[in-house]
Amino acid sequence: MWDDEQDLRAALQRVVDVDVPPPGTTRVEDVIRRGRRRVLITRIGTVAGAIVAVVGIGVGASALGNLGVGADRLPPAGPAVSTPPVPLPESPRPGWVTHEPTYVPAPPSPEEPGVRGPGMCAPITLPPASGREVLPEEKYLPVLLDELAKHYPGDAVHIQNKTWVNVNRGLADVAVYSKDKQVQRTFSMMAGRYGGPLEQAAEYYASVNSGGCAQKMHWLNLPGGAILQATPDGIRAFTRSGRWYQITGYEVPLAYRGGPKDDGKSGPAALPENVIVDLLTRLAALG
Amino acid sequence: MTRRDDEFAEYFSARFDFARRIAFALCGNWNEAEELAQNAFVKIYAHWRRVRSETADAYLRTVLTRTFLDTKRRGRAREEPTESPPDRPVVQDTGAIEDRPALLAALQKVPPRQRAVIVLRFIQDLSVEQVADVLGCTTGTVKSQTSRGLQALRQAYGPGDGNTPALHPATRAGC
Repeated sequence: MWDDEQDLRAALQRVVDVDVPPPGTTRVEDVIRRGRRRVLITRIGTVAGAIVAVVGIGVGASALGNLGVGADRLPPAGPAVSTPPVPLPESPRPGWVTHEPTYVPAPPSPEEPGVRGPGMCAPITLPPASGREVLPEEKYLPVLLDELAKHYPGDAVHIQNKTWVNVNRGLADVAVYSKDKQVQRTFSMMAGRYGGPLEQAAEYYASVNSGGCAQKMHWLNLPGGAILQATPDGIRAFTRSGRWYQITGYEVPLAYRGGPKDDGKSGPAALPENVIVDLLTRLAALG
Repeated sequence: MTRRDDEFAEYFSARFDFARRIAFALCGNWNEAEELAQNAFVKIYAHWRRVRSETADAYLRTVLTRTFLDTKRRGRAREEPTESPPDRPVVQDTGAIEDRPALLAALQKVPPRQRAVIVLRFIQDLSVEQVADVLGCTTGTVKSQTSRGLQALRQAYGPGDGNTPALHPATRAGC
């Protein structure tokens, strides 16, 4: 087959020694835009982490105070500030129900022998998606824009980006500038398709960021068998026809630029949950 | 655009095809390779201020390889379609050599981490130590992964049974 390592090296190098086809959709502007968003999300995570740490210290001090430890000290600082991402409530919101996963395994208990810290689960596999390959962008983007116009009448809506991540997933970023020029809201919509039962797909997507293990999730049943799924990662919609939709984003005062000169009083905040729920409900109704 | 963006755009223009070639060797599909390269550059942009020009390619290689392995770990590969193509032009691979698809297909059958080691060592010509740096493991692991990867590649490629083209350079067209 190969006489020596050099033969093998030559053979393998010929595999990529081809004319590179022109890039399909990639533009440097898109990459920079996504890179900026990543920087922003990282900053939000850092801020949220710091606040969680501060709140944790406050709660801990408060608990110790209740036990009489350090009772002679001042009480901790004021209440926690709600920052993005909005945490999933312990109990489902009105109309929502807790969904108990059946396809995805529960995380192993830290008490189990040999388990240290959060455990990893054997990932499940989804069957290939069937149906149309290319998502009907012309179908869902107008619905998204229409619903945004209803929530933010008079505001300027601007499509920043729309592209195919791959042939099964589409991505659209829409910015909404308030008419008083004070706030920018960015909505990132991802639309994709899945194979197999809705429940399996919904549980699978909820487990992707938790090591393949099930995590807490609340469902809202919609007409036609579609569901909205809320997890600590956010909210997604799944339809019985094999489509899924997800909307993420943030709102930020237009004076905020995320730089070191910011006063730190006003940074990115989570999008209103009711708006995301309404948008996903409309998208799910597309089937 | 800021100066940072200009510098990044210049680097992107110069090295995007380089990244796509590596990604293509890793995943065997130009569409997926483009997505992989794009994701790697997005990550690089986020750390661009810390990327030094003399080590940018090494950093790109590291990010690309780890992004590929993350993708495989998360099972994203199963979203890759096998039916009809998307609504965009399909570029013909006009430079194909007769046995290249067979070797490429065999390479894709090698487990992802071993495949990454093979690509880095034999296509990218990195040393064992450099591969260990990229993957964040020991040189011993790289050596064992190389050995297993080559074994898997040989098995996937198969012996010269008359149906599979031989790989010896002397027997190949264009060599």
